[in-house]
Amino acid sequence: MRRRSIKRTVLLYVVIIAIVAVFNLPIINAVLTSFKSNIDISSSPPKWIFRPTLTQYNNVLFAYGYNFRLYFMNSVIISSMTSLVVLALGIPAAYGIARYRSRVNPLGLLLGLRLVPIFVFIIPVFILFTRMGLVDTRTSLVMMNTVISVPLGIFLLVGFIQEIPSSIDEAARIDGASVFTILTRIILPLSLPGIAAVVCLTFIFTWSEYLMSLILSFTRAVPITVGASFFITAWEVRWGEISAAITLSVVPVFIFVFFVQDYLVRAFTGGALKG
Amino acid sequence: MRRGFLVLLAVLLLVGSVVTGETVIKMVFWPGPEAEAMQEVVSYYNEYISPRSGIKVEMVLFGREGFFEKQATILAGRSPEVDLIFTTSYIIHQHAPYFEPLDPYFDNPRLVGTGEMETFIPSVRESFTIDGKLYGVPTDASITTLLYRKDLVERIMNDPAWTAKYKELAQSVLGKELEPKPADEWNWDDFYVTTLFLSKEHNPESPTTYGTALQAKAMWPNGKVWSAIMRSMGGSWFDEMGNPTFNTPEALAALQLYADIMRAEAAPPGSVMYEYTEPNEAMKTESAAMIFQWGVAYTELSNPDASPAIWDKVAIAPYPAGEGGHRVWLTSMGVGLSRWSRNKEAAFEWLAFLSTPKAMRIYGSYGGVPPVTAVLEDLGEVSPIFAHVKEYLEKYAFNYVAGTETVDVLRVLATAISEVTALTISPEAALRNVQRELYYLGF
Amino acid sequence: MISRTKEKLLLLSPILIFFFGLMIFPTIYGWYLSLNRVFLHTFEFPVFIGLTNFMSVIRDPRFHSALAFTARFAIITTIAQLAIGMGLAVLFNRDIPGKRIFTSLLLLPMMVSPALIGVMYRLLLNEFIGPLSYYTGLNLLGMRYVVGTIMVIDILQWSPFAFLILYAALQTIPKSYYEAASIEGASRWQSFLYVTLPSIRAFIIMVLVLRGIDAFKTFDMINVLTAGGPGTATTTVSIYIYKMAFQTGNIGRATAASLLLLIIFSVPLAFALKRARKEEAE
Repeated sequence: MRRRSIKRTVLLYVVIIAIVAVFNLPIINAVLTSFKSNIDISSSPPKWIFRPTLTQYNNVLFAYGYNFRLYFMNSVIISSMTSLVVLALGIPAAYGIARYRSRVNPLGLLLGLRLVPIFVFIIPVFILFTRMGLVDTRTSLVMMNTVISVPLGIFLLVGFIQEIPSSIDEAARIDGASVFTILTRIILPLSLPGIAAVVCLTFIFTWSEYLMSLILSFTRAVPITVGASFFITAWEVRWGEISAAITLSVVPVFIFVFFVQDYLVRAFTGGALKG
Repeated sequence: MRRGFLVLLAVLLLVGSVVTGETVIKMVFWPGPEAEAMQEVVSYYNEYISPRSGIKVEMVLFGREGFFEKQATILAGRSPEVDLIFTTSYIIHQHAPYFEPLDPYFDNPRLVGTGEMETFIPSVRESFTIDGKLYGVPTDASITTLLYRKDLVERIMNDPAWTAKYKELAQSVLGKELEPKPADEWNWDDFYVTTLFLSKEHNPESPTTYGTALQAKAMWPNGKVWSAIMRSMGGSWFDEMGNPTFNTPEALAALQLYADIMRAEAAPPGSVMYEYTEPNEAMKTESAAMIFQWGVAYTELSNPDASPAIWDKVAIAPYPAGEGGHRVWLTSMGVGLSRWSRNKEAAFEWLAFLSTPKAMRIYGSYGGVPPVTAVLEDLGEVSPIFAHVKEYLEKYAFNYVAGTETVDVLRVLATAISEVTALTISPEAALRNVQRELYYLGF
Repeated sequence: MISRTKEKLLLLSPILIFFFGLMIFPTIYGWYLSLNRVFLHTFEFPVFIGLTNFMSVIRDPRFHSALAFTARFAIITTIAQLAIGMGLAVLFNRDIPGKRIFTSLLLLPMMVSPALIGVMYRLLLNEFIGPLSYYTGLNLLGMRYVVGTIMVIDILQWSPFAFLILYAALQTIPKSYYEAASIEGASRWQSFLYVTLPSIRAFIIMVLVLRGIDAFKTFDMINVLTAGGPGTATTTVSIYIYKMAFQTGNIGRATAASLLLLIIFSVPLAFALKRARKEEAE
């Protein structure tokens, strides 16, 4: 009996590790490639044993004219700010949708926006930001990422707020509390896990946003994804450097997810986490 | 919270722009070796000329992904964010409505200094001229060439066993006698037989698996590499009336070549997804013996650090000669002055400096290919590539433009090329589609 | 005390102002462009042509084939992601020491942008230096496999997202349900079929809606890998629109195509959403 259960556990681990490896094939390859010299990268058959080198990282972090640290900080700032803005706009809206039933459901419209290929509207959006003097600023990227993320955020928050018994805020209302008070004193604390979940999800999606940032950022506001794509040069892809940049961009979110995964899992359960 | 962030940002921006007293000119440039060479020119300018002119130049690099899309957005969106826009002979017609014509500036003695447009090779200068007006300063001439393994081609000529086998192959494939020749004397028969001869499929002794590797991904730049084959075979994009002529035997022969090579398994089956990078890797890994490729690749393939296996064996030739003789596609690259720039005169002063042999010599010494005869001659002693480029530019270079629709024609061609290379459609049918689609587009 | 309608308006006002302020101009501009003959190089001088752009797009056979391909791509990948996500969720829904690290690793692919994933697969599938094609000996981007290859890549990247939702869903099912089922003598498979699946119906619809929308929009990964080729074999609607906008330069027609897309899909989307909300409310 004991032996059998050990065997099963080992088998389970083997299966899980194999699955994880298959899903992460491109990332594993990026990590390996990032430690290879250019000659090892372009050798056939592919090399698995090689003398690791930090040249690629050196190029990414310290090469002239390539400001990786700025791109990294931009990503951190843009992702965090977007999460906050999504909450600021999303919580009241979600409360409104959850508690006040009406025939018009703005949610469908918001999610419908996700269907439109973003680059079609990119020129009008660009014109708008040019007029506002916001081209190549983090503010403009925060705004556009909010547009992308807020529908899903509201969608999830509505689920969490519906979990809160409406008798609680009805009671508060009878005591004469304003909507604002109800929101900050009752809804906010009670839906904290949901809020954390939305923050995590928004952060991750903003961190990996590429297409829109590609057009709207030039130098100052470039996030890490666009920064990595700078290694796709006019003629060739600089495999080593782009791999190093991808690796460096993945590590922080990996650590982030490691610590916040409980909230992430809760994102979709509308607060109904039961044992 | 958000407002605080906005205020902070505004303050930062304000501080940043007030501190420097100079006019800063922002120039978008093509990422890669050209930009590295241009950076040297920019550094020289900023160090030695800025103190006098009060102008600093800053190069803005975008990645290749979305490069032209981003520039198109900047221009259509009227952004004063950058002053100078990277442009090329195939896209300048799309840019021209947003560019300042440069002639009035060149006529202004106050601005021009020692710069002059006459510095540049006339054909290259022409490609930046629309309706008699000049819209950009060309800094680089990029041409398609044949890059090949000279050790193998020479061995076919010198090793009696190989020579005999080569002749035998020629007889069986083409049904005629063929003498081995050096690559720059080839016609398309020579190329085809050599391609087969250097493929394992047809010659188990071949050191390379494939004779060649084709760039046939459905991306418009690949239309240029192929168009030079068609031109060499005597074909053309349009007739004198401007009607598309992809229904000619010459166009068919050029597309048939891709199909034949693929069917003969003389190029990697993955060719259908290749762009610039993959054929180079085929050469570096000794998988392919020769490729139609942009001349700029020669620098990398002949560099011992980047290409340890083949660096001393690779040589350069023009495309083989057909009815239309040897041909190479010329792409002129350079910069134009945006109409939305707020510092047009300052930006032009930098352009004027770019139009001096001095600037172009710096550019050429660091890996660029300046379209300036005198500079190419001087540099020819440093690297053999320049001597060839000068010769090809003078003798073989051509390109097609279809006004603002050039990129779209190339897109249509690339779609057809990739389909034929995938062997899913006959060259005849693909070219019929091309004709139909070009009519649909209004040609 | 203010009325409830006013309160609702008040609550929704920040988001409405934000969307209105930011998107009203681009949206109107977009509709305006779609009714004009306007190219990248004639952006300053649009010519009004009514619904011509819409008609051209509707009649364009390339649009039809792109639509058909995209639908096939979206349906297959979404269903596969649902199935794989479900399998993973069941696999992970037990005590495994070190589960945290495995979960994080499993979620990793969705944190890299699809464009960069595409670039990394371009290296993996590179015929000369890519391990994947070296060891399989197959030309996975060739005509025979290319559609399957990009579908698999999309599935590998986004199954973790389905996993995340479904794994969360499994946590919501009270253990007592299963106990009841096992008392009744239900097999594992039966309790999955009759207990698990019905309990998480709302989450399954959520996966289908969210992934379906995004799969339908798929652009960067495919564009990086195949540019829509060979020929037009892997051209999604997004790639069609992108090429129309930036290579043909026909902004008017590209905008019309994407608005058309929005119109076509708003009906099933609204329906699915309504259903999802209803399920969740139950």
